[in-house]
Amino acid sequence: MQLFQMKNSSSRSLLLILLLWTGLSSPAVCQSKGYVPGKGPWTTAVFDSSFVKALYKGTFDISKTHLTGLFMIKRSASNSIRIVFSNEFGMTFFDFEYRGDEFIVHYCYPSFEKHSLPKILESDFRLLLVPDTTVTRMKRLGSKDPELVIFGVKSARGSFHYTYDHDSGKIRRMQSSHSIIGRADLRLYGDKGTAPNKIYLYNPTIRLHIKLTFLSN
Amino acid sequence: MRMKIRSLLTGILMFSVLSSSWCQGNYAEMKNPALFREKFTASAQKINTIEAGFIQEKNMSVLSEKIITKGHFLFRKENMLRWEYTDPFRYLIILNNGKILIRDDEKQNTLDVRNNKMFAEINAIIIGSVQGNLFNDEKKFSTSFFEAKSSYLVKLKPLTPNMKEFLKEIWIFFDAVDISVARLEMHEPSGDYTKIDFTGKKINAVIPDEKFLIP
Repeated sequence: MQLFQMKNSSSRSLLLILLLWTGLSSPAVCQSKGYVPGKGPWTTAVFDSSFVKALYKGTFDISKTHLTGLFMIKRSASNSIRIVFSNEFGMTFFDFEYRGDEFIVHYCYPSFEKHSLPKILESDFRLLLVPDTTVTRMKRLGSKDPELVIFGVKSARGSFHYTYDHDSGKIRRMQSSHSIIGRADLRLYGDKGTAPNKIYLYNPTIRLHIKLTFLSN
Repeated sequence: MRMKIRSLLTGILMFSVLSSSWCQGNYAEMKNPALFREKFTASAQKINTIEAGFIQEKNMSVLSEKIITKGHFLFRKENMLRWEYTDPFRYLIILNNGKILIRDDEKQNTLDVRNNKMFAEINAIIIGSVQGNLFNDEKKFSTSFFEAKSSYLVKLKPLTPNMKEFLKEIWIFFDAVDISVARLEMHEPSGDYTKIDFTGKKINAVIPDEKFLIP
């Protein structure tokens, strides 16, 4: 009997600890495992399937290099999206394509290639251009701003914080939360049809700043 | 049925032959390039300033996309250039005595030409096309000359590794009347190309110093 009581009280405290631990570690409002992007209320796509193309004016700063020019983003097939960056005179710096899981470098200015720039940019641009279909967990976190909804997201790509606009459900920020290498912070402002009006991409590891302003479809 | 297919094929074949010859602009190899060089040098010597509008068209072959930008161009001997985009965005480049000023909506930068290889090369191409010294530079380019009824075409193939990185060929079209540059085409290794058409040219108009001022 004593043994049972001991067992009972220890299991009760264990439960209490577990409850406290889960309560403290997750200020979550809700939690969903096995989340399927596109099927839930919150999508992982910045450019959804209705997006066709957008032309952005932009600046590209990496380390001490400062470049300006035009970014053309275009969906070339249902599973393919391309990003081409050229300077104002029209000379192409890079032309990348994401086709399914593949990353294709159609062209890269040789001086960039020498510094392995395509490899460096691959994951940062993937965050912007390709919806994450490998999400295994989305946990709603507390937000100081009632107009924003924040999720902690885990996927094959890593751990992220996704910030959504409460009313429209559109992504406003994607921020890698754990990984040291490939740490990216993507902010999206305003909407021009199916494309964001402004896009800021920052990766402190490689000192990369990309700022894009929408010009036309 | 067979006849129909045959005539359709013949039609397609004829169309493709005709359209490809039209794309070439009926240019034939120039009979006397030395005479053209002479004419051009004489004409370029008389030019002190050029003012023109420009329409730039970037052709992205694989994406089947064209990006069209417009602006204003000023040139003053020897090496002053003002290249200003006004549509669909504002962007200004001034080149003066080895310095470049770049101004966009957000900020203004002053650079040394030597620190920005691609910029330096593109500016050299534009100024060299206008002044005519571009196709005399045998170390940098191999040159071939063509002519049509009302225009000349000079094709330049870059020889230096730096320029080969981003340019396959430069095509400069000259108006046969005043031997001034009418169009510039920059062909990239990827197959994409940028076409710049100069419009409303004013030769030797007075251009104030402030237009080329780099603070």
